[in-house]
Amino acid sequence: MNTPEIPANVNPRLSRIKKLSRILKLVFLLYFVVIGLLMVLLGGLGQIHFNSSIRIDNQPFNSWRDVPAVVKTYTGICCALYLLGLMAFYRLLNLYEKGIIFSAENVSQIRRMGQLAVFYGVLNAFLPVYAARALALSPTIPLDIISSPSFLAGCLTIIVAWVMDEARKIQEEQDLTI
Amino acid sequence: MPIIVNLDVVLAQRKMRLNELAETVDITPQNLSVLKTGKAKAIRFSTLEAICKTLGCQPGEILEYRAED
Repeated sequence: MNTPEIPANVNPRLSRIKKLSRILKLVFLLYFVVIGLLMVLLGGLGQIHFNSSIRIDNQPFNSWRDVPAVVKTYTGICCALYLLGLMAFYRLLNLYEKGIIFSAENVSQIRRMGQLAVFYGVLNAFLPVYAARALALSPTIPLDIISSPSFLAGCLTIIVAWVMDEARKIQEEQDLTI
Repeated sequence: MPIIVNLDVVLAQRKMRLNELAETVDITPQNLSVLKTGKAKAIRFSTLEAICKTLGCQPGEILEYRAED
């Protein structure tokens, strides 16, 4: 009568998704955490010499102290958004590794990534204006915000999250059909 | 939800347990429990037919419509 559900441990597609998520998680941790920590460690030991000058949106500064406060704030916010996006992506990979593919939590993480990418794209587009004003240069109006990769990727991700949410509701209804 | 499932009432009248019904109609006890507790979104005619055949009852005895106020 009701077709028995294929257990996750014998479903080859699910196993493939779990395996891929595990690999992506390892790559993610290796790239962002291990290499980052290694750079800090080696920098601290004096093995790597970082360039002491800073460039924010092609504007050179001799040191971090020379950067105007508003630009620091903006850069800080952009960095925070980037980190939050990475955390959402990591949580999504965790869910995929557990075999949870279509759930409200997945949709929530994907939507969050999209929203963060949109905010990041918008802030990044306006950063040159504030940086230029802070440095008393002639400001450029960011007319190309709609072509910003982060903004576009964020909008697409939000659309994907919406479609996934609808798919999840259809699946839930199917699951609750006896 | 306006549709009320009175499966537990009919089971009690027939002195049958949920597991026994599940085994007879070839539905998992978990799915029958979902139906009994009113969490199901839909029921197939084939499932309804099997339940009514096993319990010897009419669909109207299992399903009841109660308008929401």
